[in-house]
Amino acid sequence: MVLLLAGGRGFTRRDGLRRLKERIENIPGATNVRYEPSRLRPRTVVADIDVEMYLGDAFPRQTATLEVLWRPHEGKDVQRVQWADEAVSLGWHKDDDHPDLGTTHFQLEASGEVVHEPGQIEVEAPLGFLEVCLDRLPDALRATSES
Amino acid sequence: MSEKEPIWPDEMDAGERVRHVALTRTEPRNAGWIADEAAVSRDTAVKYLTRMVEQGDLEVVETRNGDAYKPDSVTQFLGEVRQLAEEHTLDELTRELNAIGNEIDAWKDDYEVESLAALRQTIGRDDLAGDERRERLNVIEEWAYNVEVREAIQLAISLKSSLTTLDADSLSGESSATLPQEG
Repeated sequence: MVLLLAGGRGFTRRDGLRRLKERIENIPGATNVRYEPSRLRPRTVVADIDVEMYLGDAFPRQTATLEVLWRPHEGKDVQRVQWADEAVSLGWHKDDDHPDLGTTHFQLEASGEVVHEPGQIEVEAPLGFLEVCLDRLPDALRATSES
Repeated sequence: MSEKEPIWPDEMDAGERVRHVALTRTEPRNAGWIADEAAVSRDTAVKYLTRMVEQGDLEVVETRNGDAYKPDSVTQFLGEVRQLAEEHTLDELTRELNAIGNEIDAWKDDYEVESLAALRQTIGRDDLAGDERRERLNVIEEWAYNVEVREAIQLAISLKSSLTTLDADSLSGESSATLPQEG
């Protein structure tokens, strides 16, 4: 009776995370792409990133992790695309933490400070959302090395 | 600038984009909505959606806005059970059941509840701060997910056992010998 009990969203989630993992495996510089907490029960996809290989350019920081959470939910999915290296943690979050900033907010933590801004992403499909974030990520990272 | 125009990986063709959008829905969406998300024409979306319905991947729901589509929950569930059974050993499946049990036990201790339903009831408490309520809502979602995956793993273990028995019977030629005799 699990189908009636839980609505089957967990299986939608496993399917979506599989596609997200395939996409992340194609990111330049991404290695050790894995599910957390486990392959059988994935909640997020995590990758180690060689930053200069990813950016195709010199950068002051060498390694990072990229973590993508996706949790389908009736009404509004939760999705977070989060980059973390030795100096900054930044990402785009579609969740209920800052409804005043719109459907999605951008969060930047650096030097002990946290900044939240409107994320302005209206895309629903998890791969489409990730692609917008990947499109913006290089500029967001370069901005953190200039300040 | 608000990003309403979808961006897709270059290697995904129209069919793959429609498939991804349709299979990640939690509520039914019509062909026009799916077409916009997948960056294809409505006619192209209808072509792929119709094929997915015929294959049993999607179910059609009639709404005020016409036919809407969502993943067929039975196909999805059975597919997951089969994949769990085929891709994992009995030991891996058993260890995951144990990990799920341990995590649920830890949540019961942390929130001093006996069940998922009891944790849901605590959301209405006046003394919870906004952060605490959000944290509990997150745990509720993951707890429900754990329960769902646990059900699928249990069925996958049964499926593996049945397949092993069938395989052993056919290999030893006992399947016909064990049939009840007529008359």
